[in-house]
Amino acid sequence: METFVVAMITGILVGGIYALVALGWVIIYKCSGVLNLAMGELTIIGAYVTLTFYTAGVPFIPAVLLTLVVGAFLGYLTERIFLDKLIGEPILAVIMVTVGLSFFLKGLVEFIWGTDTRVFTPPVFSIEPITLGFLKISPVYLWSFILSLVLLVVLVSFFKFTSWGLSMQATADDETAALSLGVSARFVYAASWAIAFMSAGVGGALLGNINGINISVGHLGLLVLPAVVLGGLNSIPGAIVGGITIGVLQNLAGTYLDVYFPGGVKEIVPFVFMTVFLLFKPYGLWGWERIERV
Amino acid sequence: MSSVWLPCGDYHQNYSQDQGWWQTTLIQFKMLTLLAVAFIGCPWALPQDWHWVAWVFAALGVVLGLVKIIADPPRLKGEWVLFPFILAVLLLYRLPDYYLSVLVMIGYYSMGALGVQLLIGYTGLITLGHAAFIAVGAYVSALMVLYFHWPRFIIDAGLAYPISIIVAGVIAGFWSILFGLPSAKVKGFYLILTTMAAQFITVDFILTQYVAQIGGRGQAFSLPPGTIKVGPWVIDSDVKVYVMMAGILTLMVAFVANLLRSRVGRAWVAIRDNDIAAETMGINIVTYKLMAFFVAGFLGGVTGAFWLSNTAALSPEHFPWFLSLWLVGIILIGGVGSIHGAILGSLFMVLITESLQWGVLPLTDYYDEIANTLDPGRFKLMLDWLVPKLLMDFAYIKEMVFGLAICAFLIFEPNGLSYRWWQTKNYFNLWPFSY
Amino acid sequence: MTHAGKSKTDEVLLELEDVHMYFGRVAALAGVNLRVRKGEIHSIIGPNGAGKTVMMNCINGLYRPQRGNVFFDGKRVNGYAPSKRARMGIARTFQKIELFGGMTVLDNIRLGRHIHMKSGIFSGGMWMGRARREEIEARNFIEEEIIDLLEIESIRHKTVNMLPYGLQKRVELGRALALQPRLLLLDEPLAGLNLEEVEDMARFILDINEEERWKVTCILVEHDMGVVMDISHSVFVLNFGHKIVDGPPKEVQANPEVVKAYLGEEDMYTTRR
Repeated sequence: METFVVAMITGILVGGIYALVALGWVIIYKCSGVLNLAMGELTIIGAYVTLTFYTAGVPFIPAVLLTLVVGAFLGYLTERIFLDKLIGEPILAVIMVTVGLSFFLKGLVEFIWGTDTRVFTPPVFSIEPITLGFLKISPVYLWSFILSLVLLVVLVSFFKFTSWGLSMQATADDETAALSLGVSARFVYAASWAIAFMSAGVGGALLGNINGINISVGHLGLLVLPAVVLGGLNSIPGAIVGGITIGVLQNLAGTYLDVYFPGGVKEIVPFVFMTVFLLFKPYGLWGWERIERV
Repeated sequence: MSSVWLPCGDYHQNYSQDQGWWQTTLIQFKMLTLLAVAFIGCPWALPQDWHWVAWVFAALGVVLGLVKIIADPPRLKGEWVLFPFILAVLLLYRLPDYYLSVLVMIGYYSMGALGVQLLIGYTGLITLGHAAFIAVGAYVSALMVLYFHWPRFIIDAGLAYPISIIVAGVIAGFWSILFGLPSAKVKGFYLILTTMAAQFITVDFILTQYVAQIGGRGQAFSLPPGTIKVGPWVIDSDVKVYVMMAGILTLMVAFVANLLRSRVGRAWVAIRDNDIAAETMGINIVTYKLMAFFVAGFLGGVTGAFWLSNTAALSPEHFPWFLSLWLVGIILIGGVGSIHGAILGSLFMVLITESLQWGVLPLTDYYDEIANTLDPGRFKLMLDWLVPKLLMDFAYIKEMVFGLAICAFLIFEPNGLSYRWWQTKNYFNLWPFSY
Repeated sequence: MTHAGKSKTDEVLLELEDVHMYFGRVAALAGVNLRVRKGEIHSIIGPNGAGKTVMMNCINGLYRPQRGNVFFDGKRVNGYAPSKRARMGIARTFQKIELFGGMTVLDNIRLGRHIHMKSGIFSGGMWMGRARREEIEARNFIEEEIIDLLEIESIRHKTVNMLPYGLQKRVELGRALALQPRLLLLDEPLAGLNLEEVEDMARFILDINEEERWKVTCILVEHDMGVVMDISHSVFVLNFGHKIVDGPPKEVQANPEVVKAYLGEEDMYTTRR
């Protein structure tokens, strides 16, 4: 029982970070229809940028804020250089551009920062676990969860309540209509990439605090894919629920299944789950179902 | 496929002619030359005391030429006069081993890309997990060669490895069907995800954690020299690997090309272009999609089994997700929906990365020479850091270039290299009147 | 004016029995009954959005009606996939052309021969034996029966996307014919054609229906009343999922309800020109 609750809670806490990254993914998809496979690399870049600031002596929270700025800039740049020219191209082309992008970014990261695991020194959060009743939770998890929750709230309310957010939603809904109302679609696309880069970057920074940073953080970034599939590709609450579910699933699998299938069961379970889930509910929990007309 | 341009005065008299492989003598000549270059020109040269054979061929060419000039029999086309000379040249020279090994890599990627091309380019099923099936093929073949108790005579006849190639293909085909099953229900992006899952489940989990542990040697299966044997030949040198590659690739290309112009292939293309119309034409979409997965998996399995002959030790690290994406990248660069595309794309990618390597090596040497003459300062510090790193971290540069190449091709040349090839070919075929 | 009775018999080929089709809460078809006899041209008319194409899709299997039965040749085919129905002999064309755009005309029509060929992966890949023989046979059939009938010799090697609209319609008809169907569903085969092309197409439809070689039963969805009234044996009038009347053209023209509900204006008897 105790292990179950601990696994659950750790899962939820880590899931918060996944939710944050998944949110970035969904925002890109909603606004520009791009299915982004480079999310993992965006996450790594975020992690390394934060690390670089942190090692240079900037305290953690300002470092994260600086990462937000850098992420927004990089996201804008990426959209302008790579994706702007592909609006309206077939799905494979757009997906493969993001794959190409992911190779490029991955190579760049490996070239600049190398492949050794790096950790935040001195540790940002104390190693001393926080005790809540019988629960012992490492503060890294707790603080990461709180931070990602804050960002989630900020992003969602930005999307819901500001005029920029509204214009982004409008573009997602009907590009032509939005254009006719004076919304700049190109701006919206760029903004969605900037936001995605920001959320992925912070997610990466937080993930990096848990296990240290190396190229496998990018693999964790790929976990957003099962998360968004679970929630439905274009649903913001779906992304949050999906992210948390995947986190929980992963930790439960790590706790219980690892005995039977030693090794990488933790990384695989979300994908297995996703495959099976797709067979039964191909459009996720809250995704749009498209009816095909002849 | 568009129809072939026939020269003036050359007409087809029945449909089997119109659907033949090589419809004109020129095409026949070109294809035979290509095959001769691939199988004779590249790997072999006559030893010194056998050079007279080449001269015999040359003499034959001269005789044919004279016959052509004097008697001009209608059956003897000008191309065939040239052919003995070409053979003679091909017999005299060969490529150095290094180039052969580069060609082997090109061939390996072409084989893999052919399966991907079948799925993505012809059936419209986007897959990002093809390396999984290559890996399955490689492991099945390795397990069979190493652990299966073959009857003595089969081992003596050198049949163990060839049989295992076929079995590997079939098993990889069925494995591929397993992961193709969701394609019955899902399309597009969701299918991409399930094929990705195939990659992670197969390679990162099953193969790494379980299969690779068989025999207790940790991660890698080492293949003792002499285990990979085809007939009487032990595959142990670049030349032999090359010849095997050329043989398998030729068979594969012929197989796929034939398949695509027959009933099954047409049905695939129909599903890609318009699945609803295909269904109303009586094509059972699910069956045909699974058939495409099977054939692609089969090709992948054979590719993987071939890989055994080119490596001393087999490890799951040979089949990362990167390989899957690399194969998709190859067909994007080469051109989606074209067999040429698979080959041209791998040619391009391998040559680019190789030539980058050739570029970096002299650069570092040059820098070593001039480093002391530069003014010390920030700039020099940066170069001191950068230049050796270029060589050391070359793999990462390769990745970056590959990523950029994909993006550049998609943005600037979405039809890929095969389209350019086709244009060039038509230009020459129709020259000088291009209309 | 019509040629009723020339080629129809009383045997029923297709029957829809109380077919209901809903999209969410919207009823596209609300209890439709239809009987198509062997050898006739049965037209379905009605205003836009009446559910004509939905009806076609139900017959052809792209949609599964929530209630009611579809019988083809005396057999209940409700659960059959479109591909299975195609193999039973139901072929169709589409309102918006659904050709395989990247392929040549010849390949498109060859695809129509799919159900009459049997070669599989192996013989196809080797291009030996059955595959080779079948391909030649199919080519023979296509050239002599279809390309000749539809007069598209000159474009057989052209890519379909490059062709003008009228020819694309014709190729689509050819592809459906290559199935050698017993029932041919024609969804607005005349829409968007010019006068000459309309006449050609009407002639082809009559040929297919009447020639000894084909004798194909046709269901025709069309807005061009002139042609519909001229060539069909029976006309089925559909309005918002309900049948208004089903009978020979003369009867339909005279029916006051039809005139009120759908025809109303004078134009209906004139083809648009």
